[in-house]
Amino acid sequence: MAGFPGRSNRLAYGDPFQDVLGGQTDPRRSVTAAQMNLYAHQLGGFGMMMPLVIFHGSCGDAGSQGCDFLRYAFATASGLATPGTRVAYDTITYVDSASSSSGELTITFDSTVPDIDGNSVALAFTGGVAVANVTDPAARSELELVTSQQVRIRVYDFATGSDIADSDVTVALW
Amino acid sequence: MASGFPDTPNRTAFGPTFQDKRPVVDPTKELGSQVFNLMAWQMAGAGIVCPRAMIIYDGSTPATTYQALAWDPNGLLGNISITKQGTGEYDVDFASTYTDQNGTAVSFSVRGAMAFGQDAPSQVQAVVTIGEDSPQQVTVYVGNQAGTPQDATVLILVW
Repeated sequence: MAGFPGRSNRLAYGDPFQDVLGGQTDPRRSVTAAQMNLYAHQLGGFGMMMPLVIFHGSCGDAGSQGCDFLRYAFATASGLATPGTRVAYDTITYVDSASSSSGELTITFDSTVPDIDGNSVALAFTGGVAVANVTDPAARSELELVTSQQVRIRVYDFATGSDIADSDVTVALW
Repeated sequence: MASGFPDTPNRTAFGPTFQDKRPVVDPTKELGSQVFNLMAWQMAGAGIVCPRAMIIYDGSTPATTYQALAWDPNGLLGNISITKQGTGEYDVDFASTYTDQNGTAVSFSVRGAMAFGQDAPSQVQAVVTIGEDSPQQVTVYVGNQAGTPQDATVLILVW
């Protein structure tokens, strides 16, 4: 079995289920094949569509203080207990967030993470979005996939091209 | 039973790692533990990274034209309160609690948010702030390339 960080589609759940009996006698006490097929269909869709990482933090604040919310689809117990306080979670290492300039943030992730079976599997992002959490609608945010495990985010003023220092940003990575 | 949306239960909430009582003979008529464990893993992971609310708001009218809330999968709840503070500035105010699948009140606060202008030509840009007046608030700012406030339709995602 794969699962996050892999992309498990409907096929991962096996062939379409069929009812053993002729029909459902008590819908409160039995699950039909049609219902299970809906579960599998929806879960296959989630598996294909969901971002792998959600991040909220600041561009410009170096180190862990730059991150106050971080969740992974493949490490369900991970995250930050309190804003700015990174907690340990299994064997995955969120390497660091380090600002290269006042309006930039680079996040580097491990190249491999454990899957559902505890096997080490490659982590490779295919894309992402970043939206500045600031009040100035002239602000633009851009996200560059530097490598398959590293993203660079920049928040800047469209009119001037200058970085907007210490701006919060919400990031989703697929 | 653990709370589902608006809470985001982890894998543990879905029970231990399941095991087969006996080998699966017909996978089309029997649900093996491997499949069930995958379902639990994916549900936990998807629930954690999934936006909890998606709203499309027309700032010109102004009115909410679409709303989807993860804790309201049947779409029974009324629209989330959105107050237009002025041209291109919209306050989205969630409640401090919402009920989970058990009817239990679960505290709610915004963890992250995004907004995207939807109007064409796409000269408008939307940005958001979190928690200006409360932990349940998202404020959307919409403007043109120079930063001049403008009304527009925006898609808002909230985690």
